[in-house]
Amino acid sequence: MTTPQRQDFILFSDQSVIPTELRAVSAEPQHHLFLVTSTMATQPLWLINALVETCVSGGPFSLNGPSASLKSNPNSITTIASLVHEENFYHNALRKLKVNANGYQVLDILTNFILKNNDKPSDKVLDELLELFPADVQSTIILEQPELLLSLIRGLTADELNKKFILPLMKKCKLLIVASSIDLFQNNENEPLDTNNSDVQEFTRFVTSLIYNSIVVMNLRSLDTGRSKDVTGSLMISRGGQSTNSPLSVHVVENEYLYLTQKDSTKLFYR
Amino acid sequence: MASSSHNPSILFKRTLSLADPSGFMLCYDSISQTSYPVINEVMHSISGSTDHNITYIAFETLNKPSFATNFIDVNEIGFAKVIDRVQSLLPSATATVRSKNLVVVDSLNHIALPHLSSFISSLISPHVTLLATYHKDLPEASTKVGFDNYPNAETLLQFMATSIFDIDPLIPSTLDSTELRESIEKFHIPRGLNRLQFKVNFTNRRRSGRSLLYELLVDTVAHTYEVFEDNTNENQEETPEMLQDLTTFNLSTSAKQKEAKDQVALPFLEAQSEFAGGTAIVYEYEKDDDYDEEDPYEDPF
Amino acid sequence: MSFRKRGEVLNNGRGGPGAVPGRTVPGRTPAGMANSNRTLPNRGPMSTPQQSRTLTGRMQNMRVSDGTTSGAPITQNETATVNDEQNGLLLNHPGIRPSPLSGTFVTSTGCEDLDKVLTHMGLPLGHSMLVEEEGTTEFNSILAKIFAAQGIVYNRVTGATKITGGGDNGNTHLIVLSFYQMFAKELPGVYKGSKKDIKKSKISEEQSKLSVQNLTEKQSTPSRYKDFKIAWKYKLADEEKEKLNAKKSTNTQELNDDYKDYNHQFDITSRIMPAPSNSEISFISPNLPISTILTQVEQIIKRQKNKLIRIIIPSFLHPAMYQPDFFSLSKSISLIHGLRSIVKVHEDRCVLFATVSTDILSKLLRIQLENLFDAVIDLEPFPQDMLQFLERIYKSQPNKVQHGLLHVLKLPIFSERGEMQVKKSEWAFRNGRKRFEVDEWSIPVDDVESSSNAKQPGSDDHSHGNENETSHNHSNSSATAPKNTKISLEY
Repeated sequence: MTTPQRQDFILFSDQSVIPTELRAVSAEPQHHLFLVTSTMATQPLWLINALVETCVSGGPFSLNGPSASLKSNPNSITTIASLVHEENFYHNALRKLKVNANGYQVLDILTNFILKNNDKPSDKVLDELLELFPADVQSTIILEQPELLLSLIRGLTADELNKKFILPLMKKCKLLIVASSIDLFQNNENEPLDTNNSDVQEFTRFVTSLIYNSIVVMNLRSLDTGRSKDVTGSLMISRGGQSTNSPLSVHVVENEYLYLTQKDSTKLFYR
Repeated sequence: MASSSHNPSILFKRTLSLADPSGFMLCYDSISQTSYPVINEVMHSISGSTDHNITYIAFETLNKPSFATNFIDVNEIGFAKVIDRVQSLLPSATATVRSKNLVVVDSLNHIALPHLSSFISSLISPHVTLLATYHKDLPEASTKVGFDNYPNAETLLQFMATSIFDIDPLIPSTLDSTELRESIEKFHIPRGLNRLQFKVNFTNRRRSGRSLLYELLVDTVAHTYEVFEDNTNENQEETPEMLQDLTTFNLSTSAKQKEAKDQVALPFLEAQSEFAGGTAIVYEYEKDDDYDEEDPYEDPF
Repeated sequence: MSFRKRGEVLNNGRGGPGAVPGRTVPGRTPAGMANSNRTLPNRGPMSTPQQSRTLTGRMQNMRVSDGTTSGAPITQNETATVNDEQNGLLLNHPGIRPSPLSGTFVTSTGCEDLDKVLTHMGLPLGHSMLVEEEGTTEFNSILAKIFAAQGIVYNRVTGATKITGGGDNGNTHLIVLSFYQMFAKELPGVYKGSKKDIKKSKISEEQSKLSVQNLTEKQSTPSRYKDFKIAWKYKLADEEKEKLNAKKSTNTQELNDDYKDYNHQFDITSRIMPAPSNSEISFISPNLPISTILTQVEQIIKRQKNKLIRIIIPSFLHPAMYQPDFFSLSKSISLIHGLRSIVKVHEDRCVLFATVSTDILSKLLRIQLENLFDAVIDLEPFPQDMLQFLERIYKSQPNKVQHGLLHVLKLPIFSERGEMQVKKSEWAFRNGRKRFEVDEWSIPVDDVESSSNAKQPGSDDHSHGNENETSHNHSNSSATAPKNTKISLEY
């Protein structure tokens, strides 16, 4: 078998990952959402890195090798916040990709989250979380696994999380990228999900709302055939609920890639 | 199904352009095909006519649509104040106004069930048309106890709406409807959804009390509406071409063979005919039959 | 089951000795043998912890400046070969070694085969691991006990034969989330080996000294080429392995011997003597409020500074120990999230190991739990009839009867980097008195005659369909192959 050709990572019709409209300063504030869905077997670190790299350096160089340098966005800083990974996890990964450390910041919301918030009412927890994020309507925020808050905050519903955290967070920036885990909904054939369980309903509601609110959905999943030596999984790019409602002049290019992640590098191929 | 006296496309167009008084237009959508193209189509249809006062009540949307005259971000002002705010922007029911008012709600899922019907009825008035979206795939938020016998939101809305646009995607050619449903359940969104062409199951409630249901194929790029023809069944039918070149054997049947085949009376058909109403097993002993008294399975009587 | 047999199946040229400290392991590759003589005394009882407290001024300064927050790189053995102050604690701790794959520091789970399944030869520091078990069997609690016992053994290694005792002296501390304090007394002791084994090991020790013989042995063709007709492909595979080994043997063999106290073998029928004291193990009842549990864990870690902290949650959510409200996400997931955060804060000296029976978990709870661990493996014990089938096939070799499948759902470091590491039904486990073994799973041939032969090539040929493992999962076949035939004679 010949080596398949490496492909560029493209999300929009102007051949970009993040279109210039989203990177340039706009007069009227716009708020957009990208959604990354993934599973335990195919975790999204490399994709998040590529998105951060695009925000900071101008292009996803880690995915398609060196290319003509695009103008980076000096106007604002990119914020990464994760409920599952510590600060260093992202610093280390991005340092390896030689992403300019001045272009991004990592918010640690993992450490002592429970100790700090265990007994507080949910509104207060969400308010305090929101305050950690800079209010810069030109900036990009990347948020990993916000659905964990449904578990961590007692009694929190998907609607509350959406209205009191996700939407206000979107208003704080121009582009919010949410990476969410959808393991719960896989393997329904062998292990059906109890859809009457109210917790399950909240998770379903939350992910569904995210899809409604997003322009583009990037889904990472392993192959149905299981583990393979030369393919890690597939990256499906499809239109989100807002794709037909976006004020952007570019449109989402739907695509399916196969990708191979080895050590710190990831390569994309067409399926 | 469809009434022959109406052209469904024209009726659909009239409804979209708000020519017929329709108090409450409901869009049922899903993540595979959201209602925005329908809303945009409404905006396109009315753009040529008299000026419209469009109020957008946003539970989900953050960016003010270009067509909206007023944009109300519910999360900013709180749900309790929404009705008051909208009322202040709309003419009173008794006033005589020339312009038409349209209220767009995105989406009704975010209104708790106990408030839902009062919210809708407080908005609808002779001058106001309500165009609201309801996501049919969003599980209903748990309601308080005491609403055991109250209809669920979907039933309630269907009951109240005067026009319903139940929006379905055109199924991508690579999938069948079961595969599509299964991928969506796993949140694997396939390619080819959320397009500008889609299928609408259009329910129109007439003043006469009749309710008409049409299936339409809507193209919001070309602005054409056609009756949806379900040709999936036709494809299932066996044609001689389908059997060509599959093997070196001749699998096809000629017209004559087919006719002969169709005339063969199948054994069970007689049993279905009318005079076979009372069934009985008739057994006549013949000389070659080997009847065994000892065998318990031999004799069914 | 003989000591040598284990070497054959499991030793992969990197495995590290699965033996009692101070004794060489037979079944190691010849290169390792040659080295082992040289490096053996390396880690002997060279200094008691008391002695090592007398640090050089430089080290003391470091300790002061480090304050209480993070693990100060204080060494137990200043005199050890490597003198990297930055990683003092890590390099000189018997239970910490670098991962051969990523260079991160790892600590043993107490089960050598499990370490191998994790591919890092252990659980990386600052990482957490979940062992799930289907059904009502209790293999997971054995793994939890071995994990705990390994920690205790580390704590007693530097003091040679005597237990050091006393609060500050050890190098390792266990935190067990359980109110069942008997857990400490039930920990298995280090496997001493039968008399026969001891004799054998002496012989092999002798053999290993005869380097000339070793050399010839290495040169000669593995006898399995002669013993039975072997497909030429196997020979190719062997040659491939040899090449790889040749590349690696130089450094890895040395590494192995540097970590001779890294993992031990436990006899689950014995008890660790003397029983662990309060200075070695802390119990926290899970029936406290979450924030209290987390604060206590944090305090213990701070108090036990400069020690490796192994947090263990045996049988998490066991209904006898956990109140019903623990099954709500806001309790169980919050607790694990809090512990995860603690482990990450103290990532230079802290690991978390939890076991759980999946029968009592809903899909939602299970997935939320798995999500918060860096490594997840799932034990799926065989049903009764399968066990009977295996027993029938391996009538002559009862040691080969495996007890269930081991599925890998997540591997530390690799999974979070985005690599797909799910390996279902690739491994099978077997719990014996002396060892929890993990082998490559292959469906046995239902032929009593051929099964003893057929299994041999498979057992040391790990490269099939498992390429990621090739680099560390194979053995130097030229050395093990002759032994294979000897073993089959033993049965």
